[in-house]
Amino acid sequence: MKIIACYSNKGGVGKTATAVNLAYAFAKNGARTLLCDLDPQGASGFYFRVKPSAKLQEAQFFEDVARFTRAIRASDYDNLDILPANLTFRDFDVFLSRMKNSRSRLKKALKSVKREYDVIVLDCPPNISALSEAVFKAADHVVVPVIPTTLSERTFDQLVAFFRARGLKTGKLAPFFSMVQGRKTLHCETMARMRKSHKNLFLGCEVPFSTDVEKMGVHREPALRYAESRPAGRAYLELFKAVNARR
Amino acid sequence: MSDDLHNSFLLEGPIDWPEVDAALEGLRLVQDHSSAWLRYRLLDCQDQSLRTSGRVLLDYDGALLLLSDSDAPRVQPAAPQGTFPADLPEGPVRALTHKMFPLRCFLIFATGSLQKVALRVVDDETKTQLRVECVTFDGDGTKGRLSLVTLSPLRGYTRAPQRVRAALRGAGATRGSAARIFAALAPEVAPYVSKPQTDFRQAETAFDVAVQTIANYIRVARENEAGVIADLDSEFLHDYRVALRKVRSVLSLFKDVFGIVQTAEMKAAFADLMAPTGRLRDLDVYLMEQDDYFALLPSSLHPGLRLMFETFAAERDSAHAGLAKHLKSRAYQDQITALAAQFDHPGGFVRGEAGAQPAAAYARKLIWKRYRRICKIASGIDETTPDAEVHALRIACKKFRYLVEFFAPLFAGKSAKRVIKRMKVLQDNLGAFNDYSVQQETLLAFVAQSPALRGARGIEAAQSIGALIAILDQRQRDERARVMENFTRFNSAGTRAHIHAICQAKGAQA
Ligand SMILES: Nc1ncnc2c1ncn2[C@@H]1O[C@H](COP(=O)(O)OP(=O)(O)OP(=O)(O)O)[C@@H](O)[C@H]1O
Ligand SMILES: [Mg+2]
Repeated sequence: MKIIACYSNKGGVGKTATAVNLAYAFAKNGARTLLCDLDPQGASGFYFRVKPSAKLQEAQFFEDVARFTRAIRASDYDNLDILPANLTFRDFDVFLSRMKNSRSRLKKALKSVKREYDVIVLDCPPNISALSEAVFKAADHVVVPVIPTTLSERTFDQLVAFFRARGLKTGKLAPFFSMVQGRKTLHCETMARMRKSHKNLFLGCEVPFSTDVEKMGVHREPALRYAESRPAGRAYLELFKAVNARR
Repeated sequence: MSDDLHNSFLLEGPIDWPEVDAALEGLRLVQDHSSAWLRYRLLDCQDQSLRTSGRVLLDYDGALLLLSDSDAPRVQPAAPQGTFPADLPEGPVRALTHKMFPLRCFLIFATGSLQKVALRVVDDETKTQLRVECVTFDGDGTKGRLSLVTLSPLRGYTRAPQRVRAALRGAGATRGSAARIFAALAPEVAPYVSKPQTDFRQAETAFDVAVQTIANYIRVARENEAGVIADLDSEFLHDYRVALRKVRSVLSLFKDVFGIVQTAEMKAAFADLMAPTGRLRDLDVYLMEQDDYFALLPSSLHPGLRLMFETFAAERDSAHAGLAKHLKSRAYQDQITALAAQFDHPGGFVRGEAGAQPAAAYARKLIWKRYRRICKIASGIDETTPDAEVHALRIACKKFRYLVEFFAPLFAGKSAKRVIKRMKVLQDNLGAFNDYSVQQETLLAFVAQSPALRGARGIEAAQSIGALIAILDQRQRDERARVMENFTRFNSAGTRAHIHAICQAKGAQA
């Protein structure tokens, strides 16, 4: 079983769009897939029309394996299940502080469903916090969308520095460029520079800035459902192939 | 959770979907697509092995669909031609049926048209909460239509299936099962019974048991006639012969139940019925075991063997034609009809001295006697005894087993079944011993008599057969060497206790 976290320490970079399309692509490829919506805003559940679960109201849901598995919902697609976010659990930091004392709890909870899934995709909220660290430890790959701007460049460098400082394996990081606008010289220069400074770290694929992705909110389906052969769809397929090929 | 038949419902007539929809409260039903009307065939083998094991096999639209009480449905391509499991392309249905009945052909038990409709239950955000498939059957012979609704619940959504189940039940639908689907699609087809059990409430005396048992087996024999005539598969003839053999063993085992003269007449009549079937069965067995024979000999000896099997195959064709003609003949039909009538209306029989004995007491006495006989023969067998004695033991064992089988329902619990089970290894051993010996005889007869064995090819064939006989002889001796050990294992303290329990029960020897 593979755990793939879609993570960024910056908001609004396309984590959820990535998690939704990656999970869908894995499932379509035949892998039994669970998409965990760790973001209290519940965006990835929204894209699959799955309502937030009322059963996840208690803070220790990751400790309660039975409750955790009971909250899982089948999506409308074969092989793809969703663990919806818990909207009522607003105070995410409380949850995080509880996690702090038992870092491996998240991993244990994920392990408890291990036999059923080939791939678990985590849609993470934008934080470097106790949860994130737990996620980094649990995940086999940390897929990081990076918008090729100067600001993102700095945040990404911080993430790499954080990995190093905590002794986490930077090899888990699988960054790729997101919302790329090829016409912007700034984007192109930033990408070239970052590929060079983090040699071999960035995946080859680039997800373009595209209304096809924005429209996911209207269709409430993964972009791969309705725009598979368009540039954004093709880019997500490339991303899937690259992640799937990693050991 | 999975889609075995526990999540399916049957309803005579169409489903009123708007009514189901109305019962969903906040959820609603959407129809995705419906197929054209497709021709279907309901398949099983003569034994109805699939039906008996809780399965239904449908052939439609170029595919085979296997529904099961205990498993998810299986689908695979249908056979372009041929009627045996082995003729199917690789797939789950082939694997299962080839294992269950490699020798039997598929028969069509019902035909008609079906239509499939796919529906979903969705919530206010059109999220799917339940998938529903409805197959409507319009059988060729049946009057009304039949709806089979299968629910595929989705993880985490329990409300939708609960409501749909309740709505379907409210509309009169009931839990689906293979048995019920089969019965609804083929209402005329009674479940097949190869070993009919005597109903001892109707059979109080030894005479009653004999009459009922024989009547049952004549019926089994007759059910197999058409399949023998049409040459559908080899097992029709096999079952036909086994049924007649059981009739004959009742006649010889149930001593003094019928009058002496009548017993002799009936024995002769049933022997006459069996006589024309023997050669065809032998040839069937050889041809079925062809591959094994080839495997026994080095390939240098294969051409000779091939000549023999070509001759057998040709002879089989004419043997079958002859038997089919016989079974269709007026004389045969009249005779078996008359025999059947005689046992269905047993008033005309002369009863023998033992006929009036209570069934149970009679059974105990007979079984005990047969058991003593087995022990006596076995006690005389060692390495030096002639083969004839081993054959005698085989026959005694077989008769003993038939008796226990005939009377099995009389005995409390499973003791009869246990005795039969404990005998299996010994009987298989004796059966193999006999088969090897019969095969050698037939091969010798073939060498001695067949006009095919002339010229250079003939000499080649004779050499092959000679080598084969040597191997078969060795195998026969191997089997024989195991007989005493298997007998001792069968005749353990446990078995003896079971047989005692059967024969010396309270009120025995009354
Ligand atoms: N490649 C893209 N092209 C155009 N718009 C995009 C693209 N990727 C994402 N978006 C849009 O950007 C917004 C943020 O995307 P998304 O929710 O996937 O990011 P996120 O990193 O998960 O955000 P958050 O940090 O809030 O969880 C959404 O409205 C989405 O439709
Ligand atoms: Mg998000």
